[in-house]
Amino acid sequence: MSSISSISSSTHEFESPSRLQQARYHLRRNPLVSLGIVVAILWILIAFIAPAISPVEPLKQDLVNRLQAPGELFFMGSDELGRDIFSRVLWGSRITIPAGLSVIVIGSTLGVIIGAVAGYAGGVVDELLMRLTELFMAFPFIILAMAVTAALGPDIRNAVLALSAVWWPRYARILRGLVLEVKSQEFVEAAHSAGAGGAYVLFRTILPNCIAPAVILATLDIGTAVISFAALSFIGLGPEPSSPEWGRMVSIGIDFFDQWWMWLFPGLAIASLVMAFNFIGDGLRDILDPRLRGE
Amino acid sequence: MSFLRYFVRRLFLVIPILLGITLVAFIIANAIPADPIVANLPPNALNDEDTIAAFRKKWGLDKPLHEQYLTYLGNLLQGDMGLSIKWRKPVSEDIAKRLPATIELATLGIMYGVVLGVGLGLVSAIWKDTWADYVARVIALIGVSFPVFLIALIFLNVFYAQLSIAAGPGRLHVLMRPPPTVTGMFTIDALLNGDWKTFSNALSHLILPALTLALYISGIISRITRSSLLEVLNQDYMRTARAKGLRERYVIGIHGMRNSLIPVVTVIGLSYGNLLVGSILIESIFAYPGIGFYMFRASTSQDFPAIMGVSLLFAFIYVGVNFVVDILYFFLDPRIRVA
Repeated sequence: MSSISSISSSTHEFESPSRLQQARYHLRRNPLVSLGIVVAILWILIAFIAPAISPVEPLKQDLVNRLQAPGELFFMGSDELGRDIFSRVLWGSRITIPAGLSVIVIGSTLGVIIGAVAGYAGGVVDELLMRLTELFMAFPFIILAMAVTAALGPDIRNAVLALSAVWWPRYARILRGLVLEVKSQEFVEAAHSAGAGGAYVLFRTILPNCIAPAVILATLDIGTAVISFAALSFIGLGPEPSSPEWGRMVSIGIDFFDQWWMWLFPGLAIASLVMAFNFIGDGLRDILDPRLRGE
Repeated sequence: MSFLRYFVRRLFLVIPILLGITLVAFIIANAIPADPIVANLPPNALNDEDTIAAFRKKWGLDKPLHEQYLTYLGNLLQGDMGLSIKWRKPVSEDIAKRLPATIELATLGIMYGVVLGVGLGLVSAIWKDTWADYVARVIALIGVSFPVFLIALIFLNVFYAQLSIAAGPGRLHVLMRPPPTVTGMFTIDALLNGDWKTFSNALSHLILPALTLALYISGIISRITRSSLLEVLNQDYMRTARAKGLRERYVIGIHGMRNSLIPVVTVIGLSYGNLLVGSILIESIFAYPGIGFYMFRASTSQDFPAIMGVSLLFAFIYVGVNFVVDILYFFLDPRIRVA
């Protein structure tokens, strides 16, 4: 038995390169993807070890040394209360990364469920859910999130909730289409005739066959989620002002325009993180969409 | 299908969306806040029974929810979006006053953005996988990845504070008087008044914020232009066009561009949403007194009625722009005319 499987797997390798080889090939062709992966991993690592590596507490004030330019005392300068920008930037990753990922996870899950139910149920349910989806897509989504956050009251949790609440429509639309496609296939009919209930068939039989595109879209979306969260907190609809959150730090930095280090470093932190995710997403799109490879 | 029939049919599709938007706005304004009175009235009015009673009566808060919605819709139709908490003035009045400034900025921004985005997309599709492609794609990625407020701050710092080659914040030089109001757009009003000095000053104040907006939206536009053109370039009719001896310029310009234009126009419509969000972030940095700056100040001081008013307006503008895009399809895509 084992010899047969080893033979079949080796012929398989002969016909087409293994996934690992394919991945390696694409990474070599897309150096930006590798760069993106490295930077993203670095930021995630920083988020975990920030308390251990940041020189001082992010909230510690040093009024004697306020508004210091980057130098020996403060690597990235200090802010209007003498807080160390470098430490605050490191700590900021502990807010922004979880916030961005939460938006993606909650929003895409919501979208997957809504789209799957709409596609599977059909009829009135489908019609209602899809009209609702279109309605949400008619809003520029960050503006809708701003209104929702303002209504809930500005803080990190509400900003994440509001963004998740407006994040789902695209996922719902894609999932509905996929479920419609899969639902008419024979193995679904087989599951039905074996006596499986509706929810079981939908979530156990159909959904595993259409989840991959949603996962890919979610990967592509992480950068957008991070930048949207930063925008919300920039306009004051995120964490409270003293929080070492990047968007918020930039927005406070506007009042200290000449002290460029106050807004530049947190801004670059956002940019590098978003860019890393976008490089990864872009590479993923190139790899998965053969039309763009121009064969 | 005749143009008129297409137009009317699209128009009927827009009406339920507009109604739906007001419904969503109503739900956000009245159902999500724990207490709409606390959310919508200034803190010092909360002790005043008369003010609260007047507010209840005006928005029908003692009536069932569906009647509240109709009251809300009725007030909205009369242009009443409530009173701003911060400025103590009708939101609609404040918005109307600031709208021309934003339209002026957004128009210039989208013009620059389309030229830049389509240009970059063209370059990177035609010279695919060369250094020109990489440079264009990296510029586009910066536009998508850099937070727009950071680009605005960097531009302002470099081109205004360091190099002094661009005008700074605001709409006009501090010592200049705005031109007599006709449209509310300073450049046009100055032109109508024959006042070149004011015109050029107003225009110079627009350039940096408009360029920032342009960079912000050009990322998505160039990405779609690139992929759409690449797809078209592989089509058989492109080979035919070359085979019959057309010059490359015509092959790309006529056969290629025209057929790849539809997704590009769609994405320009969609990126209008980004443009509106961008205007909030950019105007706040350039102290440019438009709707975006108003929204920024409203949200930093939690002026709920003002935030809702601007959100509603932006949603309406967004739907309006995408309606126009839908209408444009009629001219761009001959298949619609045949169907």
